[in-house]
Amino acid sequence: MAEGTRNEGPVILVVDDEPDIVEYLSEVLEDHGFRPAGFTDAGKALEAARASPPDLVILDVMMPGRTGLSLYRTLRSLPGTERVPILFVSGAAREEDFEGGLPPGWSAAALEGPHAFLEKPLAVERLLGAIRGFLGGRIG
Amino acid sequence: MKSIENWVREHLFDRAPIAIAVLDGEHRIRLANEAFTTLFGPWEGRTCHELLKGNEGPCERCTLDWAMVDGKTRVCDDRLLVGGHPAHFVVRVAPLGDGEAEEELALWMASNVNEAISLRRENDLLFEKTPCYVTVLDRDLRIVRANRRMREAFGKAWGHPCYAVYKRRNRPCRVCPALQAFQDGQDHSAAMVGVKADGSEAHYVVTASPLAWEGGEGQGRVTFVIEIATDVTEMKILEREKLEAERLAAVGQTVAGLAHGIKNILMGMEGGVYVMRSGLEKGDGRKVDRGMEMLSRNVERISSLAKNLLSFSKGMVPRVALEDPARPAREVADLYASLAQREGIRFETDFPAGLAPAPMDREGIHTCLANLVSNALDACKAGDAPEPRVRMRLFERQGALVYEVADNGCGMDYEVKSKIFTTFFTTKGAGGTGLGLLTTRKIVQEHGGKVEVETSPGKGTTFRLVLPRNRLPRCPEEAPEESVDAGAPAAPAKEGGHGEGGG
Repeated sequence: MAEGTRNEGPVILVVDDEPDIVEYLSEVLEDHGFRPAGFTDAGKALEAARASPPDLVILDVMMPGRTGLSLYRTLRSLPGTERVPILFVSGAAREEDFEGGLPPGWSAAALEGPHAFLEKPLAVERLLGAIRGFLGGRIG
Repeated sequence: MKSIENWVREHLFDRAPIAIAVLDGEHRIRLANEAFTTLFGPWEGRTCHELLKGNEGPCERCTLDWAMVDGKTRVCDDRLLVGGHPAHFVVRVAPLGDGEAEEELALWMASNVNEAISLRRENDLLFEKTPCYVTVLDRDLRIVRANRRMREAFGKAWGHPCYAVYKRRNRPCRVCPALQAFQDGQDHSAAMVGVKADGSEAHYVVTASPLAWEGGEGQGRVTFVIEIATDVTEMKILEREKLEAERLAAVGQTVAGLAHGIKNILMGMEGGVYVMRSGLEKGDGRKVDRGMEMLSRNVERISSLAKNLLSFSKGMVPRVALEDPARPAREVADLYASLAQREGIRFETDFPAGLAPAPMDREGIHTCLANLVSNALDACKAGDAPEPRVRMRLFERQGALVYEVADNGCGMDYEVKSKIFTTFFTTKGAGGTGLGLLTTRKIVQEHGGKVEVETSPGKGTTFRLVLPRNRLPRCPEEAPEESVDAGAPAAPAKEGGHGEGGG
């Protein structure tokens, strides 16, 4: 599991309770010129974001202890991350389930700020496409 | 005083408010009073059978003849013509002769009982039309009276034992509210399953109530019991449909959870392939090895998931048999006691002896309890209680069997608690499949029950499997029989118990 940052380029926080997924995404991001910071623990991810706000966050919606959604709410309440783009990833729902907001049964909190949903497993091109959509010309 | 006697002697015959006549041995009306004349019309020169019955010849069983033969007063019910229409009367005939009279004469008196008869008819109508199955049973449990709805649903009832008619059994039911009512003179209720005349199943709730006693109301032995049964088949069907819908929903949630789990593993595998390929392209052997590790780790996960799925699907068709509810609990306790000891966790059990057997899939309940105890031990290990403790209990609460597993471990916060059943959720990272509680809930739902959770972060968690006895699955070999005795003795009937031996 990669915890910490490497390379130059935008910093992307990767938060997923699956170590293999964190490693995979970090590898992909690194290969494409980003600086991934991977975490399997939402609490540690929050500490890192507080210390040094990232350029984008990839967030697993369903995680033990603290779900992706509660981490999202905390991030939005922090001065440095209130507008950080957030890419939700989930294996529990399909992308079309997120059209027009959250699927029924999920937290009722309205989502604010830039965000998008991606379904697991993630196709590399779609992931990069979504990131480029948010970060645009900032990619090195 | 004298004058009253004279008046009576002169006028009683004519003024008495009851029809009186004097008949001779040839059935001729020799004398009649005003009431008689008013009721039946002119009588001079006519016979009783002509005037009162419209018959030419004497009646087949003539009360007058009987009275003349043995000289005793006779009483009978009779239908006599009043204005051409039959009406109910009670007739008394008393021979007048003292043996020395020139001819045999008899005093004939009739009182109209139409009103009493119509009252009785109303009662009959009430009995017949009551929208319940109503029967009156004697001490041999034979049906001496059954109302229309009962006869229509269950066929011929009169003279047959209730268990034969309601259930097609050849011996009394295990739980019999009628027998209980005969024994203690109290009301008793039970939920029953019977077989109707058309072969269909009938679910009903029956209350048996003492109707008559040997020595009058509340005195001596109960001689007759009335049973009133309300058909709840429709309700049962709805309940079953609801249960089925709940089961389907559980299956849907399980499948959704599975998809989630499989997607995560797939992504791990994809990651392995990606890292391996990237290593190959860059000639980085360590990266290739890491990719291989990721790949094989996730292959292992998916095979263990497949194995778990098999055990999950094993419970698809519960193997139901009548079991001692404490048995699976004891088995699980035996299994985990030594493990708990090794981990320094106090393991307490409380399983009362003598609980009534219940139809259940013992292996399924065993799986549920093993899941809960295993989770409780894990929670204790993750918590920081100075004296970690897991307590297993079994008890009965409001007609339901309750298995309880409580720990003083780490507990769950709201977010975790709200997710434990809804998805393929695990707090144990790669160490858990997230199937344990899902399987538990599925099995419990298949038993018609529910899983209750009480938890407090840092303080501990209590899980309860609540299995209402009346919703438990039925044993395949079990003949239609009562599902449960729904009744502790009710208050004794205060009124309505004054029948004439059940009519």
